[in-house]
Amino acid sequence: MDIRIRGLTKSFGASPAIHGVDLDIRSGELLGLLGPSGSGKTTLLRMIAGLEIPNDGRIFFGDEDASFKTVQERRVGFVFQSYALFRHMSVADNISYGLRVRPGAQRPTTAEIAKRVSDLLEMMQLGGFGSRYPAQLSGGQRQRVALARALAVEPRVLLLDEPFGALDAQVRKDLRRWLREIHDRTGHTTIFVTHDQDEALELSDRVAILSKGRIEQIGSPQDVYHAPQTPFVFGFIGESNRLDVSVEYGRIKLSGVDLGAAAQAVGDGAAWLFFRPQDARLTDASQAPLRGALRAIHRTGAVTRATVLLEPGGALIDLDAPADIALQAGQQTGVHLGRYTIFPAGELAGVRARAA
Amino acid sequence: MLPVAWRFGQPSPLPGFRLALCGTLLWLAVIVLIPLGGVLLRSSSIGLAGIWEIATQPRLMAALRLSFGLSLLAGVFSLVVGLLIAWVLTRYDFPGSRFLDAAIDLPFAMPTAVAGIALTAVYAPNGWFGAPLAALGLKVAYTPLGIFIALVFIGLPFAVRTIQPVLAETEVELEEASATLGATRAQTIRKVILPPLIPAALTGLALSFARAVGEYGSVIFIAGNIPFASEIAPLMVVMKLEEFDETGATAIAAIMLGVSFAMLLVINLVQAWTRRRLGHG
Amino acid sequence: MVESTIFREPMKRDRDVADERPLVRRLLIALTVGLMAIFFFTPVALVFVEAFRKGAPAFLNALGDPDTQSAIRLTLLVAAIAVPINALFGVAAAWAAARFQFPGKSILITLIDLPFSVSPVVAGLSYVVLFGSRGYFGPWFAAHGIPVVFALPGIALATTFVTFPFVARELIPLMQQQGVDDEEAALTLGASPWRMFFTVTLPNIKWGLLYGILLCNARAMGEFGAVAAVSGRIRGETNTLPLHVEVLYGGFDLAGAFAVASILAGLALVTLIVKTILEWRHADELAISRRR
Repeated sequence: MDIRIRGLTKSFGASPAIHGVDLDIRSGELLGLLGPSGSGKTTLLRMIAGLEIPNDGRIFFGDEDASFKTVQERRVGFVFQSYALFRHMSVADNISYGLRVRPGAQRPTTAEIAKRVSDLLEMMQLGGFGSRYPAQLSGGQRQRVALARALAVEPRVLLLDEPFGALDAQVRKDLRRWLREIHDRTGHTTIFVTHDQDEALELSDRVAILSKGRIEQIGSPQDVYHAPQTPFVFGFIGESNRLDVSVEYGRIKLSGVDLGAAAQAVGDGAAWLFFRPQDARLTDASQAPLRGALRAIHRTGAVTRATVLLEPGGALIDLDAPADIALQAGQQTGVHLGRYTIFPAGELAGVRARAA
Repeated sequence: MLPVAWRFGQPSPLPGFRLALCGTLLWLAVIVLIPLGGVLLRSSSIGLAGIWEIATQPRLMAALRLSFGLSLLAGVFSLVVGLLIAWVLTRYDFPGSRFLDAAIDLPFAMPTAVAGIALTAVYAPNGWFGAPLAALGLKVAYTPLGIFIALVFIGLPFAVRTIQPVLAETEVELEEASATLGATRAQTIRKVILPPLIPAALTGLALSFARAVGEYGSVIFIAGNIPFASEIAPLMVVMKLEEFDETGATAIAAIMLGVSFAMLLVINLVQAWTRRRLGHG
Repeated sequence: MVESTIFREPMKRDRDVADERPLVRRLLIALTVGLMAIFFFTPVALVFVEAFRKGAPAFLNALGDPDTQSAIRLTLLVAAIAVPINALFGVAAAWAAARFQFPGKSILITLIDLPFSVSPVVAGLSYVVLFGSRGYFGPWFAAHGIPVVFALPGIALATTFVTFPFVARELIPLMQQQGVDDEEAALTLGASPWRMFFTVTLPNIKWGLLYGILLCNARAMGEFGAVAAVSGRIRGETNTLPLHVEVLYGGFDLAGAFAVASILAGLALVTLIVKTILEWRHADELAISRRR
């Protein structure tokens, strides 16, 4: 089931949570909604489910306009961050709930329901857990029960709100891999919300990055990492350095020093120069226009992370150096910029200005 | 291994355990345990046969039947009304909702004798509600119906206050989950919201029943105390005492104490069961 | 492909998933207000209407009656005995139960709550069984000239019984929630046990303690059943205010009965108001508001 969203807008009181969002989700795709807290990603997900009513805009499930459909009519599978398992029902009763509440004519027979439950338990590697109660399960098991319950109703789209948010690191990793497997096996169109970029990049076919209620960029994990289209995305995904520069006659200048780099398509004026630590290297101090003093050196396994205090401008930047070079804090060094991206200076919401 | 003197309870760096515990036990014994023990001792000297003989006197029998029957009825009624009130107070925010919430405890705070004469005056044949009801041919004061009203008055707060916190704890996600799975609002209420309230509801029922069985002040005025028609068990205790029939009074008290302990046991069992089953207390 | 259209049609659904239709909601609210008006507010209003039916002079006259005056004095005296002593032992019980682990603790907590499940009339009777003329200890006390039943000691004891749990049951959960960190810190800083208690424990539990005392006092001044069983209702001597209400009511002095009742109802309302203010202002320093 493909989903199209057009001009979706939602505000809570005076503060808008989602501004005119357009989004196309392909049938069978696993889409990650990534953004910092308050970016509107959960609101967007809840509007798709029908749990939140938009002020404006439309949502299409295939060719069907679902904008005015109730939650019940939309037949979505929603997995809540807290799982929202019914505590007074056994695991099997939780999973079969969506089938049992159907009106008489559409309700499967008891035998069919039992079969479906046992299939799902099997798929979730929860065989034999049917008669337990949620309180008797671990966090990861509860997560899987919540997923099984959502899948039991044969949803047209599977929506997951921070599916791994409440789990510890190791369980998270396992479940991530396993969710991908389930998705590939069942082929449901799946949208999940996360604030964890590793999770989004590892799991998704495509990632939509949200900030302040707008979609900043949507693309494959490679695209958003290697070709960020907005300063926000560059700052939000992966590690990056940002320099406040100016463009004069097409040349990039840092505090008046010409960096000897082209300004790409950016016109004259204040600009931001972004680059990743691995896309710059240390050079001889006498040869580079970008110079500074080594402030700190951290050796972490294969790479050495060097922090440089730039002379022009006085900014601190991080870059990777080969592990075998002898470095000393305080020594003068040059910096050679490899790949970089330049954006006109503007508003940069909620971005870590300098990656830690 | 150093020889360690035997000690009671887990060691703790905090002071004052022995003083606090001994004081508590002493006070508990003097005020509660020895007096109740006295009642049990006296009733054991009467013997089960003796208690049975006293309890089966027709007039007393009628009083006990009325007390237990009406208390149960009032408890169930309080439960239904209490559920409604708890629902409205926890789910809806409206002008005056906090005032209503505070007013739920009114029967706890109001001296029972005051409630008793006030209810009587309201429901007397010439009272605010009594007169119109009498015109409809419904006599409330000085009948079991009047006792029922008084018992609801004192029992309602128990029902509301035990259900309210559990209802407030119900996460909205549970209702949303139910809706995404296709359940109608009615199905969600019946299958998702109400079942977890059962333990609290049973506790509330037991509490209001126990209170109603023992209630004296708010009932005796409106009851009219007509033998075989509107006499309650606690009144019989007081009457026997006034007749200096301590044996009779003790026998009735023993029956009432038995019911109290049974209710206490029920409440504790329900709570233990809830904790085991739902993983929270 | 559908264009991004702006439309201003009214939304079909104007409510959240987890809510009722506005009409249903309004109906339920109206039902609640109606039921509470019938069961709670009408009787209270009636007390004050009846008390002032014959005007303020009659009201004051009823309160000025010597028997009423003596009932007021006795009620205050009984509360002044029962409340402080229950507060003291409530704090001791909470200290033992909330700060230490020992076998039988849950039984102790159940026993502390026991008076709430016992009929007040049975509580009163139990003191008659102990101290009455044919009671277990009665003859001994009589021989030493100490009257218990039909006298102040019996009334005070019965009142103490029914108000026994109030302070402890508020403080035990509160102190359990607060934990021992503050007190352990005080001890590591060299405070003596009593100093720790007065400078750390007591300030931490003061609102909870006040809350418990407030409820304890309301019940102590309003108790009827337990006191009725032990007092003998001797006018001007062993009549507390609630008993005096009954005596006046039984003597068909309705104006007097409601005048006295209105003082007690006023006390109840003040208690309720102070209690509510405590719950709003000091919600996180009371156990009850966290349970709710």
